[in-house]
Amino acid sequence: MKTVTIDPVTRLEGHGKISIFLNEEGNVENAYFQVPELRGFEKFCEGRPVEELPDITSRICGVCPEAHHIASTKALDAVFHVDPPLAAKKLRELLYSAFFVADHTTHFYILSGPDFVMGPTAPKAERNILSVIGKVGLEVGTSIIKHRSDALDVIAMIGGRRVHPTCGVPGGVSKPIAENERLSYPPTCVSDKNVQI
Amino acid sequence: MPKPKIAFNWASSCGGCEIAIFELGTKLVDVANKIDIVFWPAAFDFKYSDLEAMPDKDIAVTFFNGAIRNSENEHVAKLLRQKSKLLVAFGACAYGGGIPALANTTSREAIFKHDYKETPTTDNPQSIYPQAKAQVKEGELTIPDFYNTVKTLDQTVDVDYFVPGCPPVAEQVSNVIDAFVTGNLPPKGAVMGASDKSLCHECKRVKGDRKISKILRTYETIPDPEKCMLEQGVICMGPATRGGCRSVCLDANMPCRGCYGPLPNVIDQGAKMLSALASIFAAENEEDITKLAEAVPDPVGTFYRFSLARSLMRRTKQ
Repeated sequence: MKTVTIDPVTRLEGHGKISIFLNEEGNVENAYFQVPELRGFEKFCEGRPVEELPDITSRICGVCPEAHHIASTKALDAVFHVDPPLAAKKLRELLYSAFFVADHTTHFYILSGPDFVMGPTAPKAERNILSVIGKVGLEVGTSIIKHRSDALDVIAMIGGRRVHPTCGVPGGVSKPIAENERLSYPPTCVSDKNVQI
Repeated sequence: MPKPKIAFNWASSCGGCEIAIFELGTKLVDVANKIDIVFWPAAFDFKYSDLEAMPDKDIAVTFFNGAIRNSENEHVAKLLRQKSKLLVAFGACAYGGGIPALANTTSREAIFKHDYKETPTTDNPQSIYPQAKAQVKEGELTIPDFYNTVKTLDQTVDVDYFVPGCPPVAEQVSNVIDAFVTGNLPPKGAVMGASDKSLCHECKRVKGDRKISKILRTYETIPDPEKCMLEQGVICMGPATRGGCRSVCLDANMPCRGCYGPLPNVIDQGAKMLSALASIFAAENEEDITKLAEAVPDPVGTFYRFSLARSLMRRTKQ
């Protein structure tokens, strides 16, 4: 039986491999999607101080660390039986909302979008973000990059870091938004977007 | 003249280093006009077969992130070494093992048993575990062999440069890219995109007499954001960690966990931190010192959070 192997699966976070078996007529007999990676977080997190887990588990995925960080932080709330004050809940939610914007731009424009924008029959050397920018023009491309970066500015302002935030503590967040941070935000980020903090 | 060819790869990693590269934004677009990206699984669609088909040393520089966790990571590291003139260990995992190397406190067998059998959300009554080769009715399937010990990139192949950080911060990635574009490179083996001094040198917090009589867990205190974290009793890896990150975690009122790795000429980041810590313990006798030291709940995970594979211990005994 002939086998077509797609290795690695590209433009997603993580490792993937697809093995497609073709029958004598050349039709797909069966296909297997395999995940050829494991790190063992479930095991190596055991026995570590629970308050350190938001820092460790965010490394499950550097494309969506905010999701893992916040999930782990909410688990801490449960472990410590604490209900964060409203301000902390709002800060976490604002961080997550900014992540929602950043992650969707990552997913759409950098990861899966190129296959649609360039089309499935485009040469593989063209199915990427650089060719997308080439096609839509540098002006649109720059705007996408800027909006994504703006969202990461908000993540960094609340979470402390642009990738792998560090703010999650049981019952809240480690830092407030300082007044100077709040004031510095609108001119650089949201002047044209009708968003206010 | 043809454009220089550049490759990016991830091994056992999280993708955060890829985001750090995406963070170059418009600069990446400018740089991309001057280079030819020939392999980058996170952003391009080239396959391992494309890599295998290249002549040796055809790639000018490869930025390799992630630790060496399995046989695929090792194979691709060797392949990229063969195809590249320069190989850069990019990020904490390729440099020191990073978070994946915390698994060196356990074993392949224990991870398999826990992850595929014991976790509450796993239902595996037949005790099926991953096999490097498996027979299915259509033929054979293969997956990489999962190693017992996580290694760094330079424990696997020869490495030209190291860029620390989990992930490296955007300005430093930009500096590193500039160095390669201009050819203004340090001697082989250098750490790029980081300071040669400890994080304490760039931390804005006020340092006092640096004596501590108690160790606190992060939830036990709300640290004064103006004062040295360590002096307030919260273990901060700053004294044993390279600067260069602009002390972003401390600015968020959280301690440094050491992701920028050991200082120059220091082999073992954790041992350096233990030495720094011992010198500031305000203890008069052995009993008090022991009491202070015992207040650290997870010494390996605290002092070697990002550098266990690179440390003198590398892993726990079995």
